[in-house]
Amino acid sequence: MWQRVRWAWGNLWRKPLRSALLVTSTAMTASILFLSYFFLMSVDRSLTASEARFGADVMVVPKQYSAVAEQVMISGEVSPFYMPASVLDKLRQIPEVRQVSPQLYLTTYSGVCCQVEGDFSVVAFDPASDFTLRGYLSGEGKRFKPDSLLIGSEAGGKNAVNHVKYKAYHEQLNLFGHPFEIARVLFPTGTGADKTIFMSLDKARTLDVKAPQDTISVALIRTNPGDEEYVKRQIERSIPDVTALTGSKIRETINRQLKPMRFLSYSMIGVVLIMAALQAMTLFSALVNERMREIGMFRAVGAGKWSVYRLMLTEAALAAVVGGGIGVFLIATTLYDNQTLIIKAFTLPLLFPNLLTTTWLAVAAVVLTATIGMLAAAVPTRQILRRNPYDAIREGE
Amino acid sequence: MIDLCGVTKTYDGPGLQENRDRKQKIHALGGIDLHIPRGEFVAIMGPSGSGKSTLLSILGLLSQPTAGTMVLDGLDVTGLRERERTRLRAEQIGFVFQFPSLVNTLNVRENVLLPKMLTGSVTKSDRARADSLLADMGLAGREEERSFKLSGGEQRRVALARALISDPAVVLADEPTGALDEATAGELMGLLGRLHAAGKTVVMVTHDRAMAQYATRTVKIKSGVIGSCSMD
Ligand SMILES: Nc1ncnc2c1ncn2[C@@H]1O[C@H](COP(=O)(O)OP(=O)(O)O)[C@@H](O)[C@H]1O
Ligand SMILES: [Mg+2]
Repeated sequence: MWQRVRWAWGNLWRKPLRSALLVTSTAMTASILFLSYFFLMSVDRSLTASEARFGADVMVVPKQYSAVAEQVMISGEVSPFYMPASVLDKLRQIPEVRQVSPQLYLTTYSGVCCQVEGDFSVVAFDPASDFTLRGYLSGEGKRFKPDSLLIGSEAGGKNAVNHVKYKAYHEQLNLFGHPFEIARVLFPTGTGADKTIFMSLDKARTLDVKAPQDTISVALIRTNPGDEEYVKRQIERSIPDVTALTGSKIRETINRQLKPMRFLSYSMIGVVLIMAALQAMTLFSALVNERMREIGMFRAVGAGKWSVYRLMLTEAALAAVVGGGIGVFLIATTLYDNQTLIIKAFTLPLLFPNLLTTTWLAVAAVVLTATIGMLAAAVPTRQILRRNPYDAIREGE
Repeated sequence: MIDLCGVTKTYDGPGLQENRDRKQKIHALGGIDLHIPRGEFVAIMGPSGSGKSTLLSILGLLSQPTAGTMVLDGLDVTGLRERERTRLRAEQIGFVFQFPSLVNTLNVRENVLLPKMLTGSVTKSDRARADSLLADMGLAGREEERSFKLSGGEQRRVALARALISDPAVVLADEPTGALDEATAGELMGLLGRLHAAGKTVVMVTHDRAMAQYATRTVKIKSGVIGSCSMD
């Protein structure tokens, strides 16, 4: 086995220039495959994250703001709209509603938060009833008190999630004339929520916030499974002046928005695969045809067809694994090094897959490229193997 | 050991693609009857283009006759499937080519082991056999050398060692002394003579009368037809 691999490797070195071309082209194939699928995954992961976070089963907003609200749920960016807080009591009376939690959109704070400068949305939430942020709290940090804040991952800077676990980490922020202390950081979602500062609703009511008295912006609802649509209709019938949006409606909107991008990515993957296969076949048919006599000679000394395939495919796979490995490694390190830059460049929500997933993706891209390479080598090899060994030897002169 | 009966071989000549009506057939072999007993050393002699290599390729199961039959060791091999022919080539026949046929990327020992490397894995005893064959060929100590560094005569001897790696009953050699000087050619013929002495059936193609002297029988072929036979 190793003897054969070493031999195949030696054969590749016999034509250094052409092998280099082969390796380069497989490197490009593998990295484009990796890249396009990587972005698809990033988007999907980010969507799942934002769905889990803001995609409560049903979201209730003032009637005329349904379109705005939908966008808020998708992007995580807030805009000010209000409805009376009494809506909450009416919602709690609906039996199929399991949990209700209000949020109040306050203002946009422009300035420095924890060494990061920017525009941060400030949102008040109810810690007691909240079920949407909980899953995203950093594991460590300080206890949440009335004077505490939760901040989105970007508001705290790139490494905030790591910093909060140190006792010495101590950040203060003045909002509405009141000093707050940062308690916890939220894990990244890839949406505008990462640039949001959260404070307690009770505390916000005691401060001079711009929002009208006794109002909320949204009510997030969790229903029993399958009851989404039913609850939505119940709400719209029993409470005037509000609109209820269901999670499925929002998922639909997201998917509609992403459709062209997804289509583009998948077509790109398809085109790349076809191109790579054609290219590899061209290279290999030259490579294999030159060795027609050698292959005929192999057959003459008693090698079966499968033995010849095995050698040729080993060579193809070697070139592809080396090329693909280099390509994927380069592209992956580039991506991770410039993560922030890339997320900024894309206005779409992006959340990079974790290391394990990325590794799997890289391996899959290399394996797929190697498979293409082997197929490409198999076709011209098959042509030669169809001849008599003697004819192959004679024609190969 | 080998029996040929009415073997012909026809190639499609040039002009086939361009004009089907004017297609020419090249009759490389025109009805060969040949009996080669076990343990014989036969020289097939004839001018260039007389069909010697074609005949040897049929004997070596490298190509199929257009008509006629061939029996190898009591087995009619004419209608055999490719898989069976491959097995017979690997086990029964050792082939030495007319052209330099060593693999440049492999060293001398690996070249001898080539049939084993292609078909399966190489065992310790295979390696030992390769080394002892190389020693028989006067190439002891050269096992690790790159094959292209060897002289023409040495390369032929490596090719002969390779043909013997599976201990075949039949050794076929196509102009083995082709581009060699007289002394080197003589050495190689000595080696073939030793194989014959060891009981192997040897069939050699040559156009050189001096080389044919080493054989026990010379078969003359001209325009694909066997002329006079002679027994020494
Ligand atoms: N694959 C082939 N296609 C067409 N013609 C061939 C082929 N192989 C051999 N021939 C022709 O058959 C004749 C015999 O060739 P060959 O057996 O090589 O002769 P020799 O080895 O005695 O020189 C020649 O005329 C040659 O051109
Ligand atoms: Mg010839």
